Amino acid sequence: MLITGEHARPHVPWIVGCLVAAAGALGWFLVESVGQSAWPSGGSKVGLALGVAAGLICLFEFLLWPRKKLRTWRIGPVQWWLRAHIWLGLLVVPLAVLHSGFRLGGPLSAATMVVLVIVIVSGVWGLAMQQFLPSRMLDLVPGETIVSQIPHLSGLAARDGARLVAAVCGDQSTDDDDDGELATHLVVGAVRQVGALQGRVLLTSAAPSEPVPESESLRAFFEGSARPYLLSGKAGCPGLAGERAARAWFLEVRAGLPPAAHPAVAALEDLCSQRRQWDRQAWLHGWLHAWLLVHLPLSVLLMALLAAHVVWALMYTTHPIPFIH
Amino acid sequence: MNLIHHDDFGPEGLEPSVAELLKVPPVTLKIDGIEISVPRTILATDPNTGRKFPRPTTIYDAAIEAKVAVPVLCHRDHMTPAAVCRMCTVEVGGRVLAAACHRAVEQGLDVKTHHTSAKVKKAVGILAELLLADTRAPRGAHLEGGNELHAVAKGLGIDPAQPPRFPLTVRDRGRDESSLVIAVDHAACILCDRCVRGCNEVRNNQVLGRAGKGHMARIAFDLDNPMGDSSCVSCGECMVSCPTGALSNRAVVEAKPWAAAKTSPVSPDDLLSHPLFDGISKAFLAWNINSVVRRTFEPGEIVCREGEYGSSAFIIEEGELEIFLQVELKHVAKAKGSFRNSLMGLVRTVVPGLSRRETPSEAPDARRNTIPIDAPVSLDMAKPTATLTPADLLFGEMTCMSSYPRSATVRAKTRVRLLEIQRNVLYTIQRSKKAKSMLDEVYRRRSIDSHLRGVSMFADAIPDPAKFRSFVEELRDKVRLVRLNPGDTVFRQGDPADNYYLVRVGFVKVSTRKAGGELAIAYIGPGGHFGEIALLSRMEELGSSVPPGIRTATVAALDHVDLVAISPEDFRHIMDCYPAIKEGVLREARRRVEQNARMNRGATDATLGEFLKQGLMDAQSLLVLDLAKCTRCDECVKACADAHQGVTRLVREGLRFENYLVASSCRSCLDPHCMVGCPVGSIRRRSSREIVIEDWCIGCGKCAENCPYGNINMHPFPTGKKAPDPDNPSRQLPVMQQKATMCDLCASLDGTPSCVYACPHDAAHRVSGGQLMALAEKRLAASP
Repeated sequence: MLITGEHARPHVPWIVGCLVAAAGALGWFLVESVGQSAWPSGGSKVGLALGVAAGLICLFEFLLWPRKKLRTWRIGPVQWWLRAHIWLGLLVVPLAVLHSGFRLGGPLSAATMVVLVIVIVSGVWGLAMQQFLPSRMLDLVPGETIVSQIPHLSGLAARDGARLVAAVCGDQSTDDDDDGELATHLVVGAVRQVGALQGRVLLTSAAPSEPVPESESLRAFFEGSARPYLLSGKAGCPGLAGERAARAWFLEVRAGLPPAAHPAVAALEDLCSQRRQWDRQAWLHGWLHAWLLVHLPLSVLLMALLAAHVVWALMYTTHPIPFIH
Repeated sequence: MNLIHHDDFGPEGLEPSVAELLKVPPVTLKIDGIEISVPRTILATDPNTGRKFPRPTTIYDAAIEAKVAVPVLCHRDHMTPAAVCRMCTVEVGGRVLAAACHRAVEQGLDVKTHHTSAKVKKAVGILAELLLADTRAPRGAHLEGGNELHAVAKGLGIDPAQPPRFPLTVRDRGRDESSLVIAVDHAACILCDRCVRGCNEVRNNQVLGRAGKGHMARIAFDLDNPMGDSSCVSCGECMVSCPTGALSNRAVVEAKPWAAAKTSPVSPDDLLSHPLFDGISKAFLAWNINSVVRRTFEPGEIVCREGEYGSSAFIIEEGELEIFLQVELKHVAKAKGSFRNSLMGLVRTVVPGLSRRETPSEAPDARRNTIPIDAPVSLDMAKPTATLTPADLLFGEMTCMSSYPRSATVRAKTRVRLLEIQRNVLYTIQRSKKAKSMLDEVYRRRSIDSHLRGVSMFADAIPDPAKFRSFVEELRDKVRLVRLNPGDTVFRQGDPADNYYLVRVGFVKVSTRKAGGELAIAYIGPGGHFGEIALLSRMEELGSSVPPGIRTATVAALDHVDLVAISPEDFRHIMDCYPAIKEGVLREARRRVEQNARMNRGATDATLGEFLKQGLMDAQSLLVLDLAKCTRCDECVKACADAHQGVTRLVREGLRFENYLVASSCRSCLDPHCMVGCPVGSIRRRSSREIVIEDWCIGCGKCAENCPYGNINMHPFPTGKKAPDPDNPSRQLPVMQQKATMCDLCASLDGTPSCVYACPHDAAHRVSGGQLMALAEKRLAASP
């Protein structure tokens, strides 16, 4: 979620609210600590109140996860929830620190605090990534697609390339799409799917009307390098992963082929370039979402630790709890 | 004479050679002694594109004009003449008889039909008897569509129930019941080719043809495959085209458009007795029996509401209705200040969305004194009611034909009985030349009248209601409605000026020639006007920068466009008699001239060109993703799937416009291409702008094919039925019905699009085309 520049306006009430709450908490904490020899502990009036507030906020923060799963529930737009998640999540830090009285406490409290900090930092990291990576993706990957579809599209690109090479070098095998599976149902109506066909039709114009003599080297290049690259990216053929190196390689391939095969080479180069963009997209996508691998599991762990901390504090604390006693 | 509607074309809508053809003097001929003059060339309509093309006028066309009945079996008004049945045989004075549906008219031809020629009567009678002998009467369900052969034979005095005079030569050519939707009885087929032309010409499916020779000749699917194994999409066009019931319905789904309303279905025979349904296939009416219902309204009950979208028209059978206006404003309004706010200073008219309502005080045409309505009676704002009677025939057809919202509320004054007909039926009615000309006439009259009363430029300039009424009435008879198809040119840059145009429906693109090609400089939508610069260029007030009487830009239709054309003489008359109108038009012309000059000095606007190229101006509800905000988390897609039983109706892919991804999701177009051609009327607008696909979709895929943006997809849904596996007949397989799916703006939930609601990053938005353009301009202005 963008929080900078012109997008900051909806965040302003939250920022102000959280700053006021944090300042209020700090003020109360300082007032309570006047005349005390040590900072108020988590069991003190102010400490407990701030701890309860921080715990409830953590619970609310955690509820974003189920909220995002209940997509059709009309309980406020998710962006509102996320905005609250960001700023209340940051508010937890001062509340938790004040609750702790600037002490790490026992192993459970310390572990809870450490996990909280990691969760917060990972969230801030994710938020920071969201500030610039979408724009970078927009600039660097003009041929962007749906990231989960990259393997499928790569397969289609490899198949298109194979057909092109077969048209240039002469067909050696028929690549039938029929998978021979048993029918599971009968269909009534038009099975055709209508959708954008952009980019899939252009290749046919690159194919020559009849095989080009002395073009076997193209098949060798395709089978040995281009197809693995189209299917697996850099892992398939590192030599085609770099833009400059690939351009040089394709120049070399073109030089070894008759001119009639050059349009096909250009089309293959385009396919490889497309694949390079998808690799870049997958890499950027990874950075954009990798923080969730830390944030989500540790949030679950945090909730567990928090629950244990609450139980432990209520049941086994040696300090008197002002509201109970 | 209504064989040719020249107004169906823009001034530049015809190829020069075609225009020349139409100028050829008419020919005069006699049919059964009746002398009649007809043009040599008639304009036929391509059912797929809606484009007109010329074909020779036939004797059959002339006979219709002369009101002489000629029997036909293989011919339909909306199909290319094939002349295979020869039932329309006539004598033209030559050695052999001629097929009236195919033979072109000639000067001085003396045509005799079976009414006046014994030779023709005998020949036609024998042909009918031979066809009866060669076919077997349809069986069972095949009877539902009626039998035109029997009807024609009876008309010729032959009783089909009697044993044929000729020996029964027919062998059982078999039946094909492999399709789960349509059964084929080859023995009942007369090989008229109506199904073949219906499939290939009308629906453009290219599945049907012929196979076999002699007695075994038959219709065939693909390469003579069983129908169920062919690429047939089960649209039903062959079935409704069949004159003998050889192709019949085996309904998997049944249309129930008004299942919950107080309705009673109307039998096909009942409908066929109505003049509007004359010539409509009985099989079609039987198949769509729920698409026409008879409804009764008690006094005070609302029939339709102003501002609502709709997909039906109403034929008045009995009673009186009053028209009531709830909102005083026209439903389509120009965006205020869109010119002034435009960063690039282009001549631009933006329509912000039909659902928007303005308060009377802010409305641009708040001072208008008459109200345009979707009915044949014009209203006075001081007394906003009028009465409709059966003499007015029908109402509500403009909403069906233009896809715009209803412009008035209609309420029953007395107890009324109406026939409510769905859009698909209204379209099919128009296949009949007679009904089409009737509906065209009504549409033209009402749309011109309605539009002139809604032009704020006129209404503002003439505040006196009586004067304004007389102004409109005077102008109404002088202007004409020009209907254009997408891509048609209204005029070209450099052409001599002809008319002044008001845009009623659709969008036009204004472009100029530059060294690098054509440059789009503006688009004009409903409520806009153009063509004034060249007509005003001789006026001193406009200055000397414009060549006199010459068009300064090219204007072409972006979609289906209705224009109201005002001739130069009438335009000048208006300018002379109404100084306030003249001042407004001059002010607009001056601004446009200045902007054009600025554009020609080198400013470019690739954004506008891309905007128009992607058809975004037509969109009322685009799903756009701000790619600078979107984290590609796919929550929008998942929310869509969750809201629609696990099948997403949006794909996070599509065209880019500036920093926005225009996702593949229904745009709720002003001019929805998808709604044209649905054989069962299952794709429609109910009462609001979202387009929905109803449960009775037969899965023919026509809407998906028609959508230019790929926003409709086909998905199989279980029917609960089972059928034998063709590869292993002992095995029963569940039958899945293909159905089209598209975004309904979550109308099935609460009308809040789930995609937008579920976006965590404020990246997904639903906006109209105009709003998207404004967003892009704002962003461009902010970027260095």
